[in-house]
Amino acid sequence: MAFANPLALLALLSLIPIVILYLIKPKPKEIDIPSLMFIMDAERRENRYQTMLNKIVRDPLMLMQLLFLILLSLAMAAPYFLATETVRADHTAIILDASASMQAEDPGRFDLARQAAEKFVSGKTSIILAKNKQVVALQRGGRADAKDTLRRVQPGATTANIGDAIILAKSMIEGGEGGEEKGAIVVISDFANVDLGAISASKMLANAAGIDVVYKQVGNDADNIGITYGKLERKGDKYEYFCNIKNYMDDTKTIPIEVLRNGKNILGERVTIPAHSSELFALTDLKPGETDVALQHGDALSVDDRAYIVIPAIAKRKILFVSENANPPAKIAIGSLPDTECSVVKPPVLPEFGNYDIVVIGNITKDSLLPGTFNDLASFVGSGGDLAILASDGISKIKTEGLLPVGMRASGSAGSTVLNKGIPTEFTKDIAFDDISVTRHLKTEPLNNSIVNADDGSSMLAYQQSGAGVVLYSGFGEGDSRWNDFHTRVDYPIFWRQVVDWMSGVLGIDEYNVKTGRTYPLGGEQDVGTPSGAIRTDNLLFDDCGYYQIGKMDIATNLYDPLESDLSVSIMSEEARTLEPDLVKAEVEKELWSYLILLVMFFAGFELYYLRARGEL
Amino acid sequence: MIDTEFFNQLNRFSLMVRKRVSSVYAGSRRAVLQGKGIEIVGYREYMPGDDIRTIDWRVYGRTEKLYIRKFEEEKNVTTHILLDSSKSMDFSSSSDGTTKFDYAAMLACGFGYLVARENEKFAISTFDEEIDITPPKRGRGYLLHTIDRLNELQLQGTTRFDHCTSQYSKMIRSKSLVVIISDFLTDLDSIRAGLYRLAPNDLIVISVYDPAEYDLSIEGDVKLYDMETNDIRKTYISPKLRQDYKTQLDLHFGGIRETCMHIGADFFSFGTDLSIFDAFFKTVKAR
Repeated sequence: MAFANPLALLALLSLIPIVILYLIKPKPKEIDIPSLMFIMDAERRENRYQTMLNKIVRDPLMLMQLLFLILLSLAMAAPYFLATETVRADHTAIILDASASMQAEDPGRFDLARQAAEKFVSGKTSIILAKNKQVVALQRGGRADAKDTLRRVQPGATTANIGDAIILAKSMIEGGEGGEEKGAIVVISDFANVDLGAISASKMLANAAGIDVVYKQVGNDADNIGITYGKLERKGDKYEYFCNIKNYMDDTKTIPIEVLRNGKNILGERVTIPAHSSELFALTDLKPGETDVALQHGDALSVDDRAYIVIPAIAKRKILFVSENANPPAKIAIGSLPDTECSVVKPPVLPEFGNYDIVVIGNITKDSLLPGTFNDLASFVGSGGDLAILASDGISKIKTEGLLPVGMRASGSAGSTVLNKGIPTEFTKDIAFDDISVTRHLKTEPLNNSIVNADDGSSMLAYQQSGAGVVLYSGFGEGDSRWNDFHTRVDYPIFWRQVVDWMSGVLGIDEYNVKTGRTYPLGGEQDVGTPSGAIRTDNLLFDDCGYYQIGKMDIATNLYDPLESDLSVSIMSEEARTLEPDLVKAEVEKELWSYLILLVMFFAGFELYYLRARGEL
Repeated sequence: MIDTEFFNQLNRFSLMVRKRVSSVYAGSRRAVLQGKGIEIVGYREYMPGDDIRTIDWRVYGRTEKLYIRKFEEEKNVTTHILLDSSKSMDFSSSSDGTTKFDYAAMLACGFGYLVARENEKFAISTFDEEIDITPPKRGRGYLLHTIDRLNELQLQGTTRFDHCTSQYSKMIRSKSLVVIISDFLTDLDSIRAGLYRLAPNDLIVISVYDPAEYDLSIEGDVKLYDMETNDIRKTYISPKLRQDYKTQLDLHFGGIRETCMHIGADFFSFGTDLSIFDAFFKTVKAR
């Protein structure tokens, strides 16, 4: 035993005068008394323990006073001893697996995890929901906060990245109270299809920082049939959907499937799936709106029993193509796009631009356009219209009123070049510009934010925001073999589809049908409708299956994860299966002063009681 | 030492109370019982079982019928005074050294003096573990002899009240006045048994105590010696213990008083600080 304040032991010297006082106390008077009979009777009426005390010590008051002073002195010296023992952590970070598989079984694995987590709540508790992105539900909260948080949290429909959650918990523990506090991390999960390598690595990192990591496993093997994959593809004006339905059970199952459009049943099917196999289920001729594919059977996990499909209703986009040529390749590519109405107009007389969504200026000469045409185009773009200017011999000689995103050089055109990609954009993804053979191009001033560049620094593809609209410059022209062979390549119509979709703000169908776990930056706080209710956020995490409403846009989210749908559990050790708190083993300073103070108070109280019992108070 | 100066006070006292107590003492008292005696009060016809010695043969000679003589019972009443001489009676806290025994002996001699003045028989017997029985006699000379005996008496031992009264009651032949003077510091059951045994007599019970003994005017750590048993007890006399002690004492004497009321005896309790005259006055006044 050691003392934090050993100087206080000098207070024990105060015992000496007490002992001396009692030593010099006069001897008891010797008195003859006619009979002791009544004295003894009176003594019998006194407290039995007091009588016993009297037998043990001659003067219990002296003993009490000595003990009082000794204990007080010891308490002041703050004694402690070091003990290696199991203690609760100062700060416990509880990681709850909130993946889709935790929704399985009845009672649910997540409910079991939540109940187990309550037992691990310590003085300070942090709660992290391990999804594919970590969600901090509580940071360094008190006992009541922790229990309240545990009542509120719900599992998601994503995968779980437990390894990253451990790293986050480690940093949260290390960040508190100068790293002095004792921390522990408790991971409560079904550990079904998790990345054990990443978890072990994270655990080792935490252990190296002196933080104990405890695994607690919930759940048992469970049967499931679920939709593990889904894909929506456009076929002309229609969409096709096909999905994979997997049977994780040990016997063949025939399950009914219902298809619902905007909530109404439109189709009923039955599918037979052999044990541990998958069957493909396809839907054709899907129309805009919401379509659900529901597996009508009962199993341990419901989140993968329904696929949600959304097809946005897109209005036809009207495009004005201005060109001296009657049917240039660019016009053909644009005209072939779905939901698009493209008309070619030969200058100089042009229709009202306001009737179109996009205006494309193709092959023109210096005198093709009437004066003021670009002024009208500037107004059109400023009010939200989009403009594409394609390279042609005449364009460098026309005043474009600052609409052209690139500066033309006076030297005119240049010969063959190799193309280099600049900044990536949505509309240039998957386009192989490197393979395009360029034999002639217009020379432009070098541009920092150019999307595709020629060897000489000329920009081949660039855009700029102008008012509420966008102006795109394409150095590839409207499709002339004397300039390049882009218009002959397979990705040429793709390029134009992506440009038109980008300009008209239409996303690809995959942007409307996403897998859970994806985040969606909203650029500012806004109200969002989720499958479980409305929330307000600036960065949306799709962690639930169903339909989300972001403004006027509907987005369908699905689990589509064969690993999460697999509810088989590898049973871990008995220790991990025991959902009781394991305590952190550590060498701790056991302080005794508080106990001593309690004893001091007890003796003070007892001395008062004793004096009162003797009738001296 | 027995102070006999107070006898003069008793002279004045006895004159003052004689009229009031004229029927108390045996010599002046009419016996209501008929039995053995000298004066014939009448005759009645013989019934089988009567003592044939009481048959008046002269009446038989005249009447040829058996008649027996009826006598008036002896009118004199003997006074038996039982005085506690156990070691506890040797206690004194007064400045003049008067012990409880001195005080009790003065009371006993006072009763003896009053009885001797009436020329009645009296006996002062002392008791502790055994009883020293003295036969009842008349006269002042006997009183003086008794005073000398008491002055020379060595106090010792404990009190075996039941045993001693059992021994003494055997020598009381007719209803007598019995005066018991003691500190009664012994077992209450023993006292009760003794008192019941003497109950057929006219009984006066006098408890004598020392004021210091009752108040227990000591405090703190003490080593107490029991005067009768020589037992030693170390203890701390706290106010509460003192209060409990008094309670026990009151319960004890309350028990004796209750027994006396039950058997029709007179009970008095005198501290040694009370003058003998006052003690006699209270005793006589109550009767």
